[in-house]
Amino acid sequence: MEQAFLRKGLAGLCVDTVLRLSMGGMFLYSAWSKIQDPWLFQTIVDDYSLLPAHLTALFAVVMPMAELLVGAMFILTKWTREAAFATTVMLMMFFVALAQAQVRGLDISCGCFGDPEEESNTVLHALVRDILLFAPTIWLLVKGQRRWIADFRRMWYAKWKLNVVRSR
Amino acid sequence: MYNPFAHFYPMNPVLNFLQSLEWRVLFAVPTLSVLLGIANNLRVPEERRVVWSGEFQTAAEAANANAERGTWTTDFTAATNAAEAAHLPVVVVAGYPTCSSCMRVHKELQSEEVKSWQQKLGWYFVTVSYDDAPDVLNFVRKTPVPIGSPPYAWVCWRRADDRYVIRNFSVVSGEMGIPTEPSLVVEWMHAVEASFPGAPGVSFVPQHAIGVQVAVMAESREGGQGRVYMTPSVNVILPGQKVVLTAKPGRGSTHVGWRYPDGRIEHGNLQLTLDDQCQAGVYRAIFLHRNGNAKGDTSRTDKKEQ
Repeated sequence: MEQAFLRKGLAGLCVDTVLRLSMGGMFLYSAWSKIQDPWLFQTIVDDYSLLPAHLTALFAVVMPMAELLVGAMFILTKWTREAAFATTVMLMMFFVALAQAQVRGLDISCGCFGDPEEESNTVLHALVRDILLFAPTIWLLVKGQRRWIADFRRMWYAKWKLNVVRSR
Repeated sequence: MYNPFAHFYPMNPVLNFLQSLEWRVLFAVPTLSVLLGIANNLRVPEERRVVWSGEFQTAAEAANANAERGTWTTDFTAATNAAEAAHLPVVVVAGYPTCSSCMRVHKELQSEEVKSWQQKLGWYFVTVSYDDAPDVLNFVRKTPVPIGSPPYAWVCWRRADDRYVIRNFSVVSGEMGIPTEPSLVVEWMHAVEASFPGAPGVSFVPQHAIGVQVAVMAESREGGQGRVYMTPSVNVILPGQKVVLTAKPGRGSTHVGWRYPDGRIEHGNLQLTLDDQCQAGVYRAIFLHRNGNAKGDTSRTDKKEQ
């Protein structure tokens, strides 16, 4: 019984760690490429023809930093669920932007990772990717725990305690 | 203090969940993002900074001013000179800063693979930077329809037997002649091929010219939707060469430039209107801009040619 509980906990922790590393890494990578060239990102945002000019500028300034912070939160802090919540909001925004581009038939690069030269994906690809990213985000939102990444100490402690109880 | 919602919390998992979040952290994310974003924007070099509050259009005009200072002219003068020296036709490709596909084209055309078959084909290839097409940018920005740009470029060259070859260059596959949007490409291919010397088409002869088309746009009538397709391609005209322009039915525009013997260079948007059969009877050539001046029609030419 206890061992099953431990196995389940260990599996959850492994999944948590992998998802946080991958989501955080992805956001950090995405943010870094945009931070280098805010103007280029502004042109990409402008391609979506969704926001007026001044909001485009604000979005181009704020969004890369939000991605950076969320990426860092996933990997470096205990606030997994908060990071997942912020990610959900961002993914919803991206979904709206990409979906309207797809519906309007805009043939543009996603620009999701900054430099469109590096991307050959269409808006549709980006849309599918965005939808797929909801799965790990929701998992982290619901199952994520407020602890450091790869924090196996609790598991070791629980296992140790179990052994102690058994030895008595 | 009495909390009217308190007894709802246990009943409502969403409220429970929201209550369990650390809201100070969540509020800190946008606040810090704004501060860090502004700081980062000041950190990067000036030409990489975001342009604020409606000045984006002005940025294009600034690019125009840049062109007047000679960035634009220098580039393609050098290109055409080099081509003349090499006795090769030139293909010039330009993009504009907001055209992601153009940027991809630009990148692809600089790849070693592409360069290798450029040599095999024996044509001289030049790409000019995105900022070198400011008028195109201005034109596109003033066009009140959604802008789309297919991920391929038209390239054109003249063979040794004086026959023209036009191919679409697929940005995705990096190969020649593979249409990425079959119906559109085939239609364009047909229109362009049909218009070359000996076939009906709209022609335009630049005076004393080395001309360079920088971009071709055409408005599709498909589904009644006005959509501008921009091919960030294009071809080049050798001295005195008759330039034949065409577009699929509807309206189209092309950016052309030419050089006078005394070195002066003019460029402008040539706007075309074709009937359903791509006949030459219905068209007007309007120079929207000249010499980088994006404001107002400085000259207007209406002609018909059979």
